[in-house]
Amino acid sequence: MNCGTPSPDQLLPALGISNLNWDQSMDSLSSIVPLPVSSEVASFIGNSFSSMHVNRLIQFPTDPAFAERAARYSCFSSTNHGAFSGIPEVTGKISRISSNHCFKGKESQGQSRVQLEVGDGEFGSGKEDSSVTDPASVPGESNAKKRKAVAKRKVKVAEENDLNSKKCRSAEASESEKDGILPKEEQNVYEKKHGKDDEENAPEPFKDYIHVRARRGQATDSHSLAERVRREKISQRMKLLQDLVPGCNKITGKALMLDEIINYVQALQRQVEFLSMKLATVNPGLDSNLENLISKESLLNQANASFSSSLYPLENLSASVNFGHRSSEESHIPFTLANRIDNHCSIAQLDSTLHQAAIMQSALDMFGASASQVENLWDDELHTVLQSSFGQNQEIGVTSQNFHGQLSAAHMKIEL
Amino acid sequence: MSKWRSAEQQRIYGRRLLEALRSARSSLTGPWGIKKAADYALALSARGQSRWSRAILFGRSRGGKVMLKHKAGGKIRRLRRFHPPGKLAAAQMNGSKVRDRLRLLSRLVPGCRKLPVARVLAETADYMAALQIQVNTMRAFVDALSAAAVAARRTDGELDVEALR
Repeated sequence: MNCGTPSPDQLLPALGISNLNWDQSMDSLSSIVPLPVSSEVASFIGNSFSSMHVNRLIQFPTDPAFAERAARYSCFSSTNHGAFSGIPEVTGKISRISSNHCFKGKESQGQSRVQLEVGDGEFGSGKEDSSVTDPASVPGESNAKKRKAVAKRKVKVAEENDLNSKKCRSAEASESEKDGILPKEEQNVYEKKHGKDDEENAPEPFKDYIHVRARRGQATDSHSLAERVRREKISQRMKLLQDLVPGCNKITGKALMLDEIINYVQALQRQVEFLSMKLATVNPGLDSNLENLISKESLLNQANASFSSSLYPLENLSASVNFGHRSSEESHIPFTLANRIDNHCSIAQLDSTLHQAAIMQSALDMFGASASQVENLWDDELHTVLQSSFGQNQEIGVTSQNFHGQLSAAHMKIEL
Repeated sequence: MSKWRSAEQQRIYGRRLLEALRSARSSLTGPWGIKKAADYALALSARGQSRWSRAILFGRSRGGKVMLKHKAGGKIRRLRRFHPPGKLAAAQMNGSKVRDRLRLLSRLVPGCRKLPVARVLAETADYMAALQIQVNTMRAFVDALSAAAVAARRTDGELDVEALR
């Protein structure tokens, strides 16, 4: 495989082959792809393959696989020939739009093709000697594979010349992680996929297919590709779960992660059971305080919203126990704001949660204190009492909110 | 899943729970009465969009067989003893350990016993968020109620000195 400027002679035979068999030709072209082909050759190729506009640079326009491969290759090759601006094909999976990555800052999409080829050829030379030397043999089974893969896979290559630049930018970041050299078979698949879209020059809107990209050294049959898609979905979900479960940032590995998840779910369920038992014991007092509770809950729920984000399960369990004990047994319902807040949030959230917890606690306290009054003036004065007590709560809430930014130790004892 | 993060959801759940607690239904009595009511309220708040919420909601109605019948097109299949294919097809989630844990997890989350891995994980995420809301709300309830109860007790003749503390 020559990295230098191949003479048109080398291309012509390829072209000849291509004329016979579309797929094969694509394959051979892709594998051969001498890059810095003269523009004439490019035009020739262009004309023979597609009605795509011909660029100055080499253009294998109708072969998005080309473009993509070239783009990918260019990622590795130092000679990143400028215009990888447009990859005719964009993979639905952003993470796999490797070709776009190479396209950063590339201008015209027409040129993109060319550079793709350039990069492609270079790469091809480095990596796929066999294919280069024997393009004809490449297609062989790959064609069949391609067709099968294409048939089975719900992938559609969208020719988006205009969108290429955009994708380029969007895919840049993601591309960096997927620095995989396109395997030869991938190219073939790619070509085949794109073959259907060759007629369209205008960029297509994104199809809602799942674009899959095979990675280097991996099989490209539909099964493994679909499996990879599944695996990535699963890993995405696992990451989501990792964010949900507190303290699982450092845990790597599915088994351990699942362990943590299971523990957490079990702990939460245990907490619910425990709290329900507690509620049952406290329930006799429910009827008399229902109205209070309603107004209270609205206030408390605001606090809870901040609480919910980062509470460690076991600590919460103990916290709830302590809290319950404290409020019910130690008769802590003073007007003081000396609240012990079991707050196991991360420090980052400490302030907001603390304040809200303080509000909650103070509301609780106030309410508890005023509950006695409520008991006395149950029937008619209930609402007025509620108003007053609620007003007090709000007052306290406001004052405690004034502590924003300052953890006044005198007022709050924070248990971390 | 992001909906669980909103305070609005918490309020909704709180209200539902409150209503459930209020209405002295027979289901509230008994050892797990409140827990069931709480779970039911939680599933209600989830609007049945997730599988676990549907499982909870419909698990109450006549043993759930009716829903099963609907889903199975009139036939109820027997319990399958073998591996639910969902797990196996999970892109070869490597190793028996992982698979065991997945099975465990799917048993923990209601209504996820025969789901493929991706679904189980998604349901777990939703369920976890919902559980957190449930815990917080219930804790608030307990605290409010216990505070009120303590205050009530106090008015029965305890010293007000404690209030001064």
